[in-house]
Amino acid sequence: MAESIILQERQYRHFRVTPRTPVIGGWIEDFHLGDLNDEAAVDLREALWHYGVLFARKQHLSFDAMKAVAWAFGDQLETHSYAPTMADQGHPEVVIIRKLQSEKAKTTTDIWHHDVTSRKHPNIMSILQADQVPFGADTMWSSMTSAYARLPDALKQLFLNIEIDHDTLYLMLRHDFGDASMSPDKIAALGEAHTHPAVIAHHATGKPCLFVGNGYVKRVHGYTAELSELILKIANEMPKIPELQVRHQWEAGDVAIWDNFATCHYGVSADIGDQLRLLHRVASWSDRVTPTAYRPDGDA
Amino acid sequence: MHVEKLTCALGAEISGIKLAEVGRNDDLAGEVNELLIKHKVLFFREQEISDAEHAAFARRFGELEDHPLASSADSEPGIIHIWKSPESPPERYENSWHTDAAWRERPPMGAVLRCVECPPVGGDTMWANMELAYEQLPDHIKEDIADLRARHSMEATFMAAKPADERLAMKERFPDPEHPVVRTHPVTGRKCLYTGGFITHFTNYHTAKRVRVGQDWHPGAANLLQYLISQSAIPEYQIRWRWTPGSVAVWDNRCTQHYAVMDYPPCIRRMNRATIIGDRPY
Repeated sequence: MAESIILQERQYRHFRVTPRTPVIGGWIEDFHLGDLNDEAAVDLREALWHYGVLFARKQHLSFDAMKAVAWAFGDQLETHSYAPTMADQGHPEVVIIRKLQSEKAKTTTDIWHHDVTSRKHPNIMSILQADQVPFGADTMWSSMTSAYARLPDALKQLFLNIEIDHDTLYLMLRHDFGDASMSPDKIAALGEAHTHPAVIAHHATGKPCLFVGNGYVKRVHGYTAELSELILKIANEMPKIPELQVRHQWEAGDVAIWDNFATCHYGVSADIGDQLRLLHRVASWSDRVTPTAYRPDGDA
Repeated sequence: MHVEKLTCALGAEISGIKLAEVGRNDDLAGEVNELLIKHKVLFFREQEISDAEHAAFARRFGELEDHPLASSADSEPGIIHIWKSPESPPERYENSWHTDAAWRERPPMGAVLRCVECPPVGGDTMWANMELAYEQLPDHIKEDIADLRARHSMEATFMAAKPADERLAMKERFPDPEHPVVRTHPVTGRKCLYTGGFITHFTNYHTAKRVRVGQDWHPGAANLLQYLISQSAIPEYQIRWRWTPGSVAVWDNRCTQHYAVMDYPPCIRRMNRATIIGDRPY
């Protein structure tokens, strides 16, 4: 089946990538993402599919530059259903991730999840840039390509044969998320729900990825709640495996770019006192990219 | 000496200090001991020390013990080799969340691990703060586990793949001990969750209070055990350390668990460990 690939350093035409673990994550070296041209964009795509998540220090990109990176991966920029954005400065595509500990806001990022899996066309990627990042609030990513590869054969068969119902409402119901501006009624009215295969063929590499997550998941399609919960529990154990993970400690100006299909992520909550935590995110998608079921060779 | 906290949960990197010197200097050793109690795991880079200096530093915390299965340094009792290469048997004992040698009646209080050789990338080690894991448990769970005890077993883990006679002989040498699920730190008095990969089952779960019908016991007890074991997988309690040759980690084995990430085969990773004898958990 899938052979394991040990990540190595790779030299691209405009930058170099050094691995952070043998399985997931690479540092983009000697490059400012604000200088992205067509050639570098081709290489950046290739690098992202290879490393799953890319990091770069000291970028301090403008919102336009962040959007240019996102455009390299999809033909639509995400407009988020409920998160605050920079729309008042002319950037509705830039999501503000802002948290004051004193606000006691419930976060939904301290679970292993893929972004917006409740949509027919979930994000292909996101680019996240740190503006103010108090010590401790790290972010982690986990390789779902490797998660699938590590499943015992019997469980591969199980996940190859099921679909998952994703629903934004369940992000709130399962994780007690929301406030007055984001009530269950309002989220339900969005009608953001879609069923995707539990194992998808990556749109660019064709590799199988376990695509379940613990964010928007409602139910294993067509299963009773009891059985569904047991199966989801198995899937949700996978991202916790340290061998699949990379952990990033943020510095202001850092950029992370992640493959939203091949990886899931986790925002580590931390006691940051009265310090402001502020990051900005842009994501892209395409109506030509929708999760499709992986079919192993010889199974057709 | 410079101290840099590495995460909110645990761990600090100490620079401007030579461990060989700490081995010879009471004042420095006292300071490092205090830092260890405070941060639970300490890291040092670029420590070019001999096995003898490694052992002398570790002895500042207590006497050393060997491991019944791991090979030891010829010249230095107390220094064991955790060496992996493409020729090593495909054993997977370190990549599980565990506290060292909980299968002993008196598990080690700590260890000093030195990287001799490691791959350019991969083979990190992670630690989890089990005091924090205990503190953050819901009150009803704390109440439920307050008096619980559990069996830990070398026979069921390290020995599982060996022939039955060898396995049982080792069990004679190291009978499966019983430890409290909530352990009290002998120095600080703080409570921690004392679970980890050598645990097999609760020994006193089946009481009238907990078990009304059979399924409260099975799978009830196992579900609770799984829940407690899974606490170490919570990123908020963890630190992940990337090794370089010559770097050293010292940890308090009474209130932490660790996990050696096995993502580097077929590369070579050679670690030398001094293990410090501890006391009976209570």
